[in-house]
Amino acid sequence: MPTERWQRLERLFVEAREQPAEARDEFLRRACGPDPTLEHEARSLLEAADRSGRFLDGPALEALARQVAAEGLSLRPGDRLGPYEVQALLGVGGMGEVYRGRDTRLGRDVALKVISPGLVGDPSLRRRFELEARAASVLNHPSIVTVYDVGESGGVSWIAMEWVEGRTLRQVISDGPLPLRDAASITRQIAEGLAAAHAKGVVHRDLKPENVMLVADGRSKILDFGLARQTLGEALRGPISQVDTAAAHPSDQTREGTILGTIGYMSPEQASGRPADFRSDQFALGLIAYEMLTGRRAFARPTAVETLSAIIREEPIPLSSLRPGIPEPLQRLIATCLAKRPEDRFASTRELAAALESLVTAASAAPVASPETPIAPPSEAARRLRFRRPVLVLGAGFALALAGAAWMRFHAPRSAVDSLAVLPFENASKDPQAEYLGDGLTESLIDQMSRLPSLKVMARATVFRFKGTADPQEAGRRLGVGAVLTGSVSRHGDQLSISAELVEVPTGVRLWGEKYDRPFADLLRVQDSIASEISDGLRLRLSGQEKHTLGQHGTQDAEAYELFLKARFFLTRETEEDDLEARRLFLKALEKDPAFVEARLGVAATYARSAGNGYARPAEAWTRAEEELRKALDLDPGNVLARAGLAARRFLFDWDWEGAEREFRELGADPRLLAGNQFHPIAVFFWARGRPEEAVALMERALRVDPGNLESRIMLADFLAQAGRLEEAIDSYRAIAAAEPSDPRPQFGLAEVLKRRGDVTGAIEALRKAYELSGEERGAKALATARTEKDYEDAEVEVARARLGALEALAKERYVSPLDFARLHARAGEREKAFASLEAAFAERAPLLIGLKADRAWDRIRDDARFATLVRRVGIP
Amino acid sequence: MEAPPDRRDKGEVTDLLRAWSEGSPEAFDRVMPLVYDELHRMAARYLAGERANVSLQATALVNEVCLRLLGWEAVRWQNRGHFFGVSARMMRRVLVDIARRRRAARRGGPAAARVPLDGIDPPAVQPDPDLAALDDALVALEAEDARKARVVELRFFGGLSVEETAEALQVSLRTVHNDWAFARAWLYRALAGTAPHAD
Repeated sequence: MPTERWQRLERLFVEAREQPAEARDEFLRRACGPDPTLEHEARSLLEAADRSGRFLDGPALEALARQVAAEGLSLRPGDRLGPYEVQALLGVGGMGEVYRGRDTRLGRDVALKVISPGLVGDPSLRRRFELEARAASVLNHPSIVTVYDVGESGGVSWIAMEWVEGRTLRQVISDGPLPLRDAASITRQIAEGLAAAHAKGVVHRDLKPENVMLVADGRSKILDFGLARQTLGEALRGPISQVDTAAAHPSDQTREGTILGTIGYMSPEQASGRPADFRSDQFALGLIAYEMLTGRRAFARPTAVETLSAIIREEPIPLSSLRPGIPEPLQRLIATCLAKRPEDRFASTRELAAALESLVTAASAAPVASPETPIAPPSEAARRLRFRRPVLVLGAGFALALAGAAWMRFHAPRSAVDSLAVLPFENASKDPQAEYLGDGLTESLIDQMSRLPSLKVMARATVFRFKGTADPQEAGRRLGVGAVLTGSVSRHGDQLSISAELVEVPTGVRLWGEKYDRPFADLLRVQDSIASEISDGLRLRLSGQEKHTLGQHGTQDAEAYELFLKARFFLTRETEEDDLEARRLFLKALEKDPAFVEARLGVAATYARSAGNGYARPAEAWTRAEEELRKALDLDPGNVLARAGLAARRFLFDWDWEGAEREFRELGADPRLLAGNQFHPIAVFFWARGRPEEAVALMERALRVDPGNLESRIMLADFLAQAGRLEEAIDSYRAIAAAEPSDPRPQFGLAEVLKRRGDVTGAIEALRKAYELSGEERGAKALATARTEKDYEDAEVEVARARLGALEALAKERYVSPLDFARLHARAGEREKAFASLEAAFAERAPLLIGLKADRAWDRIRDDARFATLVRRVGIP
Repeated sequence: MEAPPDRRDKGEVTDLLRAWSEGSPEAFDRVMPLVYDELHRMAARYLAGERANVSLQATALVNEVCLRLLGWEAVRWQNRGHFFGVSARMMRRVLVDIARRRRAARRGGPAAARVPLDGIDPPAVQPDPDLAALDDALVALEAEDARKARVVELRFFGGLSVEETAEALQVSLRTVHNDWAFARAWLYRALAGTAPHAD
């Protein structure tokens, strides 16, 4: 309780203030009587009240913010932080400032994040900031903004990172929902960045649209990796753990409160105060995808509490009711990301990325049906093509390392329906991880049906563009087939449910349909029934032999078969890790059933592929591949795929050109070699021998069966160029570039052809684009002002040198084929080094040596006597 | 904190509220980073010459975080005023802590050149109180007159209006007006160091 004296003082104060100003003195004197201390006290308070102005006016937070602001910024243009020169302030964020800076040694622009000392007094916090930044600096992925350097100068802690120009995803979303393809491809790129980071144990924890930058060419980059706070609680103990780059884009912040912003992207576990892990990033990604597709936040509520509550307890409005036409698999995938329990999300982000990759590939290869402008980014494969390995070798030609035949005979049609497209089976279960089941079943049916010589079956790459299509008949029309098979598959525990329908394309008549509910172990039998009933439906008259062929399976073990389907799913992806995962699964399938021929072929394919892509030493890889292929032949003498694999090895590794050609001829026209990329090794064979016309004929034939095969289309253009049919090559490259605007490969091809034709300006522009699309910013920049052929070549040399640096760094971590070095040295005009590397490549029989004659990468050293000798030693006829 | 909020009974929430107002480190840990972020974003806006109308947002947010930590389902039925009191106290602790840290950094840290950037000098402002000193003065005021200190806490740190403050303290509007005017003057004088404490 206040003292009595205090209460008197208070009354005096209040009453005096109610008096008119001129009466106040008189009032006080009278009221205080003989107590001068009290009077003095009251007067001084009243004076203070008069003087106090806006004291305590406005919330404390604002007052403190004004003080922070009044202290000003840490740096001004021209200041130096280590090797970096500060150029301009971009913005002020939660913990400091962001500047544009310049690396004076390398002459490149960087973004500098600075933790201002006034904000961070505690040195232990600063140390922690540095540790986090260093953790982030180990990440090196095209979808992650690279941290170059971390340091401290003059009490200022800073991070130097990749300079990225573009818009934040927040800005892009604020224009409204994104086209489906863009949304899917951005989601995929973010997922890939996350997967790479998660593989290194780095979790973002604060992923949101403000932290994703979209670069002009459609690539997405994640900002502030590892700089995010750990958990709210931890963050407190280290409150400088984040410098907000989003602040570099101040316009984002006026739209709505940033705190609410961050809260909106929390996962249920974060919202309830539990620690975040990599699955929290998956949740945030799900939210971002949802927002890109619908233009609204999944859990937007008027207040933070309601938002948090919604995150923890509520299900978002189903995507399908906000936007029609989102493919079912994508919806399911997002739903899985948004699972409330982390354990219901993806077990690894790599898996998530792989699932997205297949969706995006399907979507971006889709015929130009939608009016949406694609900003589809280059695929992982395209990105890896920065090295511009000849597409023929990188292409999935090695997927099954199979050879086909240029001497294929097509049977004359003898039945009403002579061509079929098996459209990808939909995954009807909630579990996106069961995606492989639908894909696998589709592929198996394609394989099975392809064994019938009387039936033309559309190949995988072509039909998968129609994944998730709502109109199978239209798809069939586009594919020019007589009938389409569609279906769905789901698995609930041990129960399998498959439905399938066969529709005649011209009439829309349902030729056949069936639904199967069986134990999972019956998968193979169901598949057989479908296959044989399709043929009935198509009114194909099968001979006894054909019926037998149709019913053949490598295994009767359902578990082994499931593993095989999964493995094949990974084999259709592009990266080395996917290959390794595929190999692991194939081997597991073999553990279950050692006599499973297709699984052996799969293992062989993964080895062939790593040799072809330069990931593994050729001798080791081919030895393992051959072992598996021979075992497959022991189990199934005459197996055409195994023989084709051995034939491929014959010229790619043994350099036995005559033997390989003999094999290819003998293999003849097995329909299983018709589809997919299985022609590619033979085409490569002709290309390497300098017989481009034959390669062209082969590819044209392949494209009739598999018209959507991007690899095949690029190869055809390459062969046309090699054959000197420059105008046709130019047209082909342009057509591919129009359909795949973010793929650098057609641009590289175009550049070379235009240059040969003497169109220097066009060549420079194409090469500039190619560099831009493949992330080769320096090359692109150099070409922006280039005019002469010499400028063009200088840029090539510069890029080759830069790439060499990157390759050297990579070589410290793992095996890199000496041939990759040799090609770059040759491109850089470094003759001696090129030959040294070529010798090393020769010693280990690098597969790409077969291209010495045809590959234009060697043009700069081709005139050397040593080169001719090498060609002879490889024995290229 | 682990029990589902809706299963908490009244007594438990009251205990929690008490624990909080007495300084539960967990609550503090949750609130601090949010406030910290908002603080610097606001500072950035001042620097950019913007006076965004967001200042109350952080306060509202602190309210909400407190609600969440306490289990909002249960708190909904509690005394609203009591609750506001807790979160204003939380805000006070957080902001004062930040202010003290900054003061320590200025004293102990390296002499950093703090030059306002050309062209975006902070807008001229009435000198704001040093929150650390204000906190000390508020402690002294509390010793004299706890209610007045609470009014300051609610209004200045908690961002409450006069009406809300009256509701929270269960007193009349007039009382809040008077307390606020008196406390403001008293604190101003205390910080200006011009007069002895009334006693």
